[in-house]
Amino acid sequence: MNINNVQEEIGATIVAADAGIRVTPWDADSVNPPAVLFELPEEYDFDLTYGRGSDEFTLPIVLLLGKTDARSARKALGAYLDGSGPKSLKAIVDSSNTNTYVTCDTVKVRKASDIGPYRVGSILYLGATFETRITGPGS
Amino acid sequence: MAEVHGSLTYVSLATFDISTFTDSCTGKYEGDQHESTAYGALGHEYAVGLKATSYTIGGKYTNGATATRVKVQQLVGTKVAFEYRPEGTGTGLPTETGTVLVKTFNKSSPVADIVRWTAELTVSGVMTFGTQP
Repeated sequence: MNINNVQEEIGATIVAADAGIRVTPWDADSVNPPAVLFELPEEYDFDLTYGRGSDEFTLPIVLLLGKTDARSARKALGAYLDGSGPKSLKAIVDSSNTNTYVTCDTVKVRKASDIGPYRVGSILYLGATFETRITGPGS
Repeated sequence: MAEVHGSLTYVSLATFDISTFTDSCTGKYEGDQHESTAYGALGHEYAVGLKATSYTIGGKYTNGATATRVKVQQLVGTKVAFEYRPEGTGTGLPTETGTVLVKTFNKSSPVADIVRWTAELTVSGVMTFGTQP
């Protein structure tokens, strides 16, 4: 399971959902919100089953909205944090019987954390980090 | 002498390799003991009895044609071949083979985690302890 391929597939899923979210490269100097960028996982767990059957990692997906002092950004945050609805990042990203992935087995947004300001360059954006648990084949 | 990592373990049920969705295998090896103490003895004496072996296996529940449901759950109540290679696969490494009754199958669905399963296997007869060719 290659984290780059998983990130690309999740990014394509977010874009295909047509929720107005742009996928931004992690090393971008600037963002055009609403946008997500993928941070690297802190850990990558190998050998969850015998025979290199299963690996797991948690992928942080950072959602950035407008500037922190923008009323529109705060208002939009609610819809993206919602557990359901057309803009719900969890509903868009979570794997299910109808939302399947080929680069991994399961994708599950477990929680949104660090809800607040994020600095990109000299600008503070309102955002949140969606901790997404990924499981997939080990070989 | 060296430690052996559990991730190398191989298990098969009904000749199908279930290792890739299995993450635990515990073997229990017992021998019956029969009291044979006579009056006047200072300690218990025992006669050797029959052997009894069982295994508890478990792991991640998987879907598809080679899934846990097909390859383990549907074998409940049947006797099938079982092989356990505690040190992994390789020439000269130990292997335990025999026939087991798939006695129970359990699966659990925690709300914030993946579905998991366990199964109890009771050995019919005795296991054969050998080495892999």
